[in-house]
Amino acid sequence: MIDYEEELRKFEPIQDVADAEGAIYNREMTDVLDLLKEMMKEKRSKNIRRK
Amino acid sequence: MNCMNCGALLTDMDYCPGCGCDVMVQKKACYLANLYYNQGLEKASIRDLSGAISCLRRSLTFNKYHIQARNLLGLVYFETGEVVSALSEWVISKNLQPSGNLAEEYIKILQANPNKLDSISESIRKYNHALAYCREGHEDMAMIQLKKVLSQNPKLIKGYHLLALLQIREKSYNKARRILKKAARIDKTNTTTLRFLREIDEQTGVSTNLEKRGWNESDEEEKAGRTYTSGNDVVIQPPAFGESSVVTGVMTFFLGIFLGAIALWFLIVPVKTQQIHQEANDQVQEYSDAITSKEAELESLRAQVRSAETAAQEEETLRESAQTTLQSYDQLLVAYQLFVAPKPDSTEEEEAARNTVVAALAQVNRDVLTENAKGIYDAIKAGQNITDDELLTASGATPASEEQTPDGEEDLSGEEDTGEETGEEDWE
Repeated sequence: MIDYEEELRKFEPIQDVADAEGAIYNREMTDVLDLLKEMMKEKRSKNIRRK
Repeated sequence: MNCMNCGALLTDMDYCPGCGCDVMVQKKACYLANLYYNQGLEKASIRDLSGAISCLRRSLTFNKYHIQARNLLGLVYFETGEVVSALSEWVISKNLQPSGNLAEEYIKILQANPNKLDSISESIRKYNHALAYCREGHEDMAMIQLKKVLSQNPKLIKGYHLLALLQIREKSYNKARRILKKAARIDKTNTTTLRFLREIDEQTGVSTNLEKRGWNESDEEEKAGRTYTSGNDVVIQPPAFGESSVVTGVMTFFLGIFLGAIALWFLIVPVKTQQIHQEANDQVQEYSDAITSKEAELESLRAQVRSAETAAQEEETLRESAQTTLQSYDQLLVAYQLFVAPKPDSTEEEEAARNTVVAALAQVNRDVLTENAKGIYDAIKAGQNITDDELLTASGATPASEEQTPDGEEDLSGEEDTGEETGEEDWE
């Protein structure tokens, strides 16, 4: 049985076209390759510290 | 593909020829991004937009520089009414690859039609208003607003969902089903659509059929021929076709005419016959009504004639009565003139005058006279010694004395004429 109030809470307002700029800036752009790069950087920095 | 570490062009080896970095994971990620893009493309082509969005987002999670996946994701967002998301994807795509990018075309097309963009923007604002109305408890206002939104932007899946939710709340399950069917035509596998439809199916006990009705699909399959795999082989079954010849054509033509005639006989003729009978019945009914009204009119006229006849008879009776009265007074005057005239000298003349008086009085109907006239009548009768028998004899009727029975019984009717008898007795 669908609970109306609960279902209504799931609906979010749609972003207006005027707010498109903000939506673009707030977009999460990290991908797996970024994570890999981050991991490689961390690994390198650890290796430098050990040395 | 370039190395993510140094940017050198990669080869088939798992290590970068420039920096010697292990690029196997990078290659795997790119491979997965391509795989998900292909899956997303396949799903988008069969209007499984939710599935396509899911696959394309995964593809971009593995490789955010996958321009085709990003452009396709924007296109799919646009198709579901999420214009801002679509524009975001295309703008990012254009920034990542400024030249030779399809996203530029999409943005140009959208910007070339500002009215369309304004309409979409307005519909989004209205949707947000409708959502606010729902949260404030003004569901009826929200429904009106959502109907406007969907007429303005018929691709807005969320609008269909919200309207369907409101219809479900009001237990208008059939309306909600129709709305969700429209949503399912845009996006076949949207989880919200399917969840609401399942709820409606449970409530109504009727399962919703999302397949398109029609014969075209099967016909097209037949025309194209059936393809299936048997092991590693792809078997294409050629479409079946019928042998066509002149004889077959002629036979088909006559069969068509025959079937048409049968259809005419069994479908159109009964309808026409029924129509004719109906018209005849209507006419008979009309004539019957006319006859009834004429008969009523005739009866009324007959009643008028009878009334007129009765009135004429009464008039005749009155006229006769008046004539009798007038005649009675005439004769009474005659008798009175002779009665008051000087007595003749001779006995014969006197007798003749008396006879004239008797004849005159015999013509008088005493019942129609006034009281004074009756007094004159009685005086004349007494003065001339006139008996009732004489009067009756003079008037031509049978005297009462002659009507006596052989036993000597007197007629009682003669005794009722009081006055005359008394006068006669007085005279004797």
